[in-house]
Amino acid sequence: MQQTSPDFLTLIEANKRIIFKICNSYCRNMDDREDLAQEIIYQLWKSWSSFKSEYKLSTWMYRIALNVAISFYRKEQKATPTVLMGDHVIEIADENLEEGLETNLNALQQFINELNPLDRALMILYLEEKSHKEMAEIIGITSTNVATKINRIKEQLKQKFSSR
Amino acid sequence: MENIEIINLWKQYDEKLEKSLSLNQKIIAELQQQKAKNALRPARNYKILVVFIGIIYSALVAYFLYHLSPILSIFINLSVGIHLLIMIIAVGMYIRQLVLISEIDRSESILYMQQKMAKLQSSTLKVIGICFLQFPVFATWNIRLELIEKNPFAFWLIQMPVIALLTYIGIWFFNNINIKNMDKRWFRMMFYGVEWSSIIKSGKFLKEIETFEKN
Repeated sequence: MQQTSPDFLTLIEANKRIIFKICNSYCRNMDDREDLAQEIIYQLWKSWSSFKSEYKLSTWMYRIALNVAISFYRKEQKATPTVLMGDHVIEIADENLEEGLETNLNALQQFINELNPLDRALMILYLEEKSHKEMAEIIGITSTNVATKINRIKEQLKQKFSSR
Repeated sequence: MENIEIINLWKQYDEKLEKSLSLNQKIIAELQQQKAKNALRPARNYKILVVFIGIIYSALVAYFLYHLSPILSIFINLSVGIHLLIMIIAVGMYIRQLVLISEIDRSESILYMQQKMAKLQSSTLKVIGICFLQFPVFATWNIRLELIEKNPFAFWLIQMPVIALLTYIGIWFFNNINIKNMDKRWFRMMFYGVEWSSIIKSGKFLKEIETFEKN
């Protein structure tokens, strides 16, 4: 069996939360989330050897993960059947969240899911507290454009939460 | 809720995930092997099949044209030649698409990469448009010089208008089958069905990208 490079595993380990959150934001059902998580990890692995230090590792990682997620979201049919198993590539322990936290998180997740795929990517990057410069590099627009869009999304978000 | 509270909410979620998520390393290792075997995706497989059939078909037509051209009329030779040329262009365009698919780099910026993918998908329409250019050959292959001499009226009053009409239809479709017309009724009727939905979606997404870039 092919060995997984320890460096690659470290990358996935360090970014498993963001992969999980991206999957949650672009897929509604569990099977799709699992397929998307596997697809993201596979594409990261495929590009791993060609990673150039021209960009930050996180910029590279977000570009691939979000590109794969957006392409996956746009596809009509499901991805090629992936590794068949009952287990998940990213397992989550069944821990309950506080009621208030869970309610707010569900509302936030619902807000994210209602955005178009490109604004959704921007929103995730904003919540991950990426700088405007890095967001611009990941998305491929200017920093000024990022700032304008973020302000607009923040306004919508504020309205969403104040109307609850 | 203020923005800072929302960011904090996301952070709390992140902390919670840090404790509850774990990687299944066995699956990651299996996944790499399994996926490597499945590197050719269905869309690419379909294009490869089309290219394969297209090459065989074009080779057969070229073979027969080469060997039979001395005994066939100039009109059949010309019609089959045009048909063959268009087939070769279409196959060439499909091969170019395959090369572009293999060159896709997912580490490009999101807008650049998504735009490239959507354009690539919608470029299938160009191939269809080119295929329409061969419309007139369906009315030219059976022209015979003796018949023109014997019955010039039938040729100029019936066959020529048919050829002109088919030429017009072919050029019209060639010019109009593109994603800009996807909202028009004739386009939706022509490209109705599951097999076209990914192309229509690409067109819609290209518009979304354009709006996103502008606003």
